[in-house]
Amino acid sequence: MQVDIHERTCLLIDKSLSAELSLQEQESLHAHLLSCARCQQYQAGNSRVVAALDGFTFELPLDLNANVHRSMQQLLHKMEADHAARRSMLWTAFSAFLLSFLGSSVVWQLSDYLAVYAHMSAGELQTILLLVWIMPSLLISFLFPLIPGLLMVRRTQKGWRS
Amino acid sequence: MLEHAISWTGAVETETQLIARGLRARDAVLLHDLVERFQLRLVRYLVFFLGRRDHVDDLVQETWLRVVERGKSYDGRSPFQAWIFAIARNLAIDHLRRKTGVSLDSSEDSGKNAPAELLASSAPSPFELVARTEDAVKLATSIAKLEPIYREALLLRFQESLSLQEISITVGAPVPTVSSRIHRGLAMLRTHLEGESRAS
Repeated sequence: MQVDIHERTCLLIDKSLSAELSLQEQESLHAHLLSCARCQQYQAGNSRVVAALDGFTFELPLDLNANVHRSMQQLLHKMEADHAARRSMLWTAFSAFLLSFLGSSVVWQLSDYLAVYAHMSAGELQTILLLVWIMPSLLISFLFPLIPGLLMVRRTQKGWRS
Repeated sequence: MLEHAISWTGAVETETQLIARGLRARDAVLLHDLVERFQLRLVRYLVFFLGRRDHVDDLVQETWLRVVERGKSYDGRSPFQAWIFAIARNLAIDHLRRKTGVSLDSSEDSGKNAPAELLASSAPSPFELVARTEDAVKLATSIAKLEPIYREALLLRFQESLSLQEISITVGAPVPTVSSRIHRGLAMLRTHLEGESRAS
């Protein structure tokens, strides 16, 4: 019976080091510790180890912080530059798409007049315009935003090779 | 400086939320402040995890660069040190895997499979070099021999005061496993310390 109490107390002591004890557990632990030298010793042993862990004093190499700050600054500048390049590429892509769309609309509207000069029907001219002008230009403007990504993949592959 | 701050919405931000916001904005001043505050703890954590001092500076540097790159993923719900230690831990594991082909993270007994180079060396361990109290000197050898997962659990619990839940997130193990690591690590060190005391 006594052994059970000691084991239970040791478990509570262990538990108290890693989690919060309930009020009942705290009371039970406190009451037992008052009269049990063996469990007091167990608790003191644990406390001594925990205190000993504080006795390791690490020091930083003098230049470590400066090196870290320098690397972080370089990375921040690079990320900012990449971000600006990506933003500028997106604006360019948007402008390209807008101009392609406006140009294509104008040509589409004028197809009736142009068909007369080209000696073909408006439908034939529109098909040619669609295949040769409008679709390729819209496709290229759609692909524009992918260019930074493609460049990045290429750069990474080059990095792997070197 | 980072204790509490009133945001533009008027709500009081906790320190971790403030850090999360600063990391999202890549605030250079905040990053500088974080390095000053957490550098020593990061070094200490990596030495405890790896059980050696070499390569720690490189890993520390790499960890901070990861913090800058992945700052947006920190949501401020857990302590910052738990998050940064998890990053450092993953980098340290990758480093060991590259260097020795051994993972310190695969199982409870993983440390036993670590190469001799990691476990035995004639040079004093990093713990012997930084032990400043009598008990720390007595413990230094046994800490160096302790498996990394136990050293790490003891450090996070008693030096960093992280809760079991937070340690569990950091080390990627369930709470009962973390609890068991703490108790087993403590028991091993207690036995060693008591043995040393009896011998002297």
